[in-house]
Amino acid sequence: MIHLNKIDKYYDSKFQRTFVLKAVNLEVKEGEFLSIMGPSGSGKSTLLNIIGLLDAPSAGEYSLYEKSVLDLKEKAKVDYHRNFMGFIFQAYHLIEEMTVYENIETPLIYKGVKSRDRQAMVADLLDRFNMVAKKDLFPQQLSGGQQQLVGIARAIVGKPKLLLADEPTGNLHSSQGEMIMDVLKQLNNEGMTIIQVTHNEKFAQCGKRIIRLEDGIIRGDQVV
Amino acid sequence: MKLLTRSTLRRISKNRLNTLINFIGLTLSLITFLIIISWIRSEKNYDRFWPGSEQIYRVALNKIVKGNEVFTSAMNFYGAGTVLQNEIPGIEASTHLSKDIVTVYTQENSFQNVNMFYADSSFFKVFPRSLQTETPDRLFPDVHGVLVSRSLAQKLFGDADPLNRKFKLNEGWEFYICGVFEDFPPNSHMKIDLLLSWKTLRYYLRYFNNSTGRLEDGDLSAIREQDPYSRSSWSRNSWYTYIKLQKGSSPDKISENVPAAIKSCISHYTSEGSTINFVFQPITRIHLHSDLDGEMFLNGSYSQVNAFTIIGILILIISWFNFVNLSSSKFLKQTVSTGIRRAMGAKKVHIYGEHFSETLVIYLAAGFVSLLSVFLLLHNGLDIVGFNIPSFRFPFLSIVCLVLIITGSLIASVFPFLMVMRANPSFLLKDKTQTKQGGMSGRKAVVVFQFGVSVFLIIGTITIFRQVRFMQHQELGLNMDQVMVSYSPMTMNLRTDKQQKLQTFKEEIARIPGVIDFTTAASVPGRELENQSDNVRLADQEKTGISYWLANIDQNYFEFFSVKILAGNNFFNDPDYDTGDVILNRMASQKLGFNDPEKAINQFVLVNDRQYRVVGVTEDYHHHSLREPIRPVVFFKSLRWNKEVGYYCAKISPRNIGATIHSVKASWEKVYPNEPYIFSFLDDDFNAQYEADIQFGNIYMGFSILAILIASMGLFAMARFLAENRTKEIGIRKVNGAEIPEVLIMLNKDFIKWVSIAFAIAAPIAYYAMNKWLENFAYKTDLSWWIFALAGLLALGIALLTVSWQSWKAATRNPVEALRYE
Repeated sequence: MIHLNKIDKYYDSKFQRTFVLKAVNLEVKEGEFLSIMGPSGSGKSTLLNIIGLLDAPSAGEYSLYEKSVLDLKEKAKVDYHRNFMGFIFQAYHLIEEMTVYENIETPLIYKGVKSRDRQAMVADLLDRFNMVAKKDLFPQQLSGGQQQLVGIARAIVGKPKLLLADEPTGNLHSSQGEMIMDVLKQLNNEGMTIIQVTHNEKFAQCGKRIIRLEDGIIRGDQVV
Repeated sequence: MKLLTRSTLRRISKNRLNTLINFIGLTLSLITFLIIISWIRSEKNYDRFWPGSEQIYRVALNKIVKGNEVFTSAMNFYGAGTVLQNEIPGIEASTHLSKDIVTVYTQENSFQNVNMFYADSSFFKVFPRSLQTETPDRLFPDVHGVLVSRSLAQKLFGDADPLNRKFKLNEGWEFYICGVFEDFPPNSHMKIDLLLSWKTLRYYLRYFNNSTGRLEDGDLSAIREQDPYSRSSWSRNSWYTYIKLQKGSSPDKISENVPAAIKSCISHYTSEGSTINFVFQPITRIHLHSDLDGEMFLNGSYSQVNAFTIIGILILIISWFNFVNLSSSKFLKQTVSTGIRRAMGAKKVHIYGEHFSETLVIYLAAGFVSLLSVFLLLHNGLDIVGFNIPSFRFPFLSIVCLVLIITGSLIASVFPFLMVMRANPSFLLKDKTQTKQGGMSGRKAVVVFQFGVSVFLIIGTITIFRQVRFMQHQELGLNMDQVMVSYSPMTMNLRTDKQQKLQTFKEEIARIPGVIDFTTAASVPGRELENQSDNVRLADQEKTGISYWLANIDQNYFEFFSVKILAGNNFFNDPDYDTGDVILNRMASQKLGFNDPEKAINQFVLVNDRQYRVVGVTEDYHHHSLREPIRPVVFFKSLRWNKEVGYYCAKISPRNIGATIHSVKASWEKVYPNEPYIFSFLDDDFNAQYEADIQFGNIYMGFSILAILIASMGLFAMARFLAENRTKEIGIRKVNGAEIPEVLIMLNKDFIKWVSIAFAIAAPIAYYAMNKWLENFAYKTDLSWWIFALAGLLALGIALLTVSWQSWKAATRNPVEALRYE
């Protein structure tokens, strides 16, 4: 599904070029659950942002389903964001002035889903994550784990094929983290491709495959 | 849309302080702007209500002698309008009016200084008013009928039907009302309450017996129509002349034909080397653009309209800039949520929609509140410190307001949006510091602009008030303290016992202990000197084209006003008037060639070709306001007053003023029973000339305060944002040993820099603008350096006061807390 070929990402300053990613080759198949590990500054998040079309590589090729997605027009990118991929963030990044329900609903509105259908889809997810009672609360009123659940619900409400998670458990206690990982595993079992960035070895093991980044270079690629 | 409104409202209520600052600033500026625009609209709409107003012109008169402009007068010759209409094709109608000053009275009521004009029936052909009359085909059916305005009729007779009612005028001429016309709207340069036919005046002048106070049976046919081509119709310019052009003819075309048309009528001027020109003034431009000699009433001022237009726009821009500035800060804080939205597949238009809707909601609220306030304020017409805003057009204002709301919210939302969109979405999610500094240069420019405007307005305010103070305190060269002044009794105008009654009155009030002195004059300081002549010269001189004022005064005038006599003597104190003696002011004696006043004494001067002997030369004094230069004056000892109406002046002692006034009034009523005694104090009158300047200053100051207030609110919010933004930096600095004053300096340094730049830009502009404004005055203050220094310091002080609170809060914060905060 995902094909990265010799991806570079660098910043030029006056006297030198600093590489964040260097010649990264990566192949991700449909249905995979990939964990990206590595120390701080190794380029994990950058790699994820590039995969998520939030950032552009400085050099290299990137194709989704054999179609190059570099130099996409704004509109095409938006289409991918709407229909193909969902994001989860370490800091949840829920929209503070929206309720749980509205947060989950927002991507559907952007997507142009009809109000009746939206209601059904959001209700399904609330049900699935046992959050029906909390639907009118604001993010600040929830615990971290619950917020992240909302974050996941928001990411998958549009039924994406690819879920990108940037340290989804980074801000959570371990028990809450485990709960989140269970949800992700389950989603993966249902057929969703997941790529997560994590520091946590244990949570990395939840996936099917781990790649290890160091100074922007892939140092290891192992199947769990 | 659903998405927009709900979270929009929540976001607005979340940023309560910012929203409030935006809202208040916007509302204030919108109210100001709407009021200014209502005022401007009403000023610009003067005389547009006349049917065919575009075709109506006033014909002004310009006289040039030897390249010197003697005058340009709003008033023309008697024959001008008729001759133009007869000789030049393309003129549909013409009319003329001559102003007089009268008292009207009935048994019950009496009114002084009624707006009375001589006219003829052609008046309503140019200026149609709806008319209540029994003789619609003949406006003036006989020489006894007059036309009055609805409001004067009401004042005289209440609600009773005024037609055919009688009242008296001045020395007892009795008229009946043959027609009542609708009042002139207030937005006309003309105010007319009473119209008499010219023929009526001539008939009464001829047949009214001033010793019996009765009209004698006169032969009407002896009063012939005045020939508009005759010499007498072209000798005095006292007629406001209006023409209405036919559709399709232009004033330029008419102008071309004027010299040929009037050539024979003005031969007596051209033969002596004078040039006579006619100036066609569109009637709709008179109120704002005309300031000629002898204007009918005080007109408006176009430069004032301009000044307030600019100020209104500046205030609006200041509040818009505030908005842009605040929303930029706010949206930058929202970069994360913007990033998430984009990651979730929001299009640019969605994100812009959010920014726009948030802005629009605040703008709509502000627009609604300001429209409502303006409606309530202007509902019954508003008089802001003397600036009258009579007409109020709600639909017009609503449209203006709507346009401002939409353009305003577009502008206010597009800049922050562009700033946010410039950044890469992954930056938005990760790296906050990069974007937060973004757009700083633009916002610096905003602060510089706002404070530049503030500095400009402060300099303007100080200068205006300094000039007014200067004018009020300048040595005038005469003393007019404790002088009660009134018109001479108009009921006496042509009566034979006029002088005798004056003598009686003089004796009466001389007996009052509080009255120190009494004098009469054709004009008093602060009032128009109406007679002028360009024909004042020594016997061996030719005409110079210099215009001299001619003033008729009583013998004790100079003593009364403590005007210094430089050379020679005062007039003889004897009962003779209209003698061959004149007194010059210093300026006049200089213009005649006597640099040493002594040399002028006993010389003979020709005034309008009559010979007079100079008996004295006085020091120059300011007869008019300091707006006008001192002009050469020739004084005559005479009781002949312009239009028969002069001034009575009584100097009273400062003790027991109430009783003195009461006694003077009683004496007047005893001697002149048909006339109300309406007096004022001369120094008040004189200072009233500066009222318009004081009003201008007050309003200007009000606007300045408003502008500074709005600018400060913006600065406050900006300082808050910057201090918040630098919390971490401040924490680190403090951990590393920075003390509070150092942090304060660090935070305030930038603002000081910006205000200084603002000052450097605004000061020269203000210098230029205020110099231009001061050119309106013949005598003016200087623009000293301290005005600029003061303005700069004030602006700086206000800026520092505004930002220091935030800086102090940030600087005194516990650094641990600050560092944890990130």
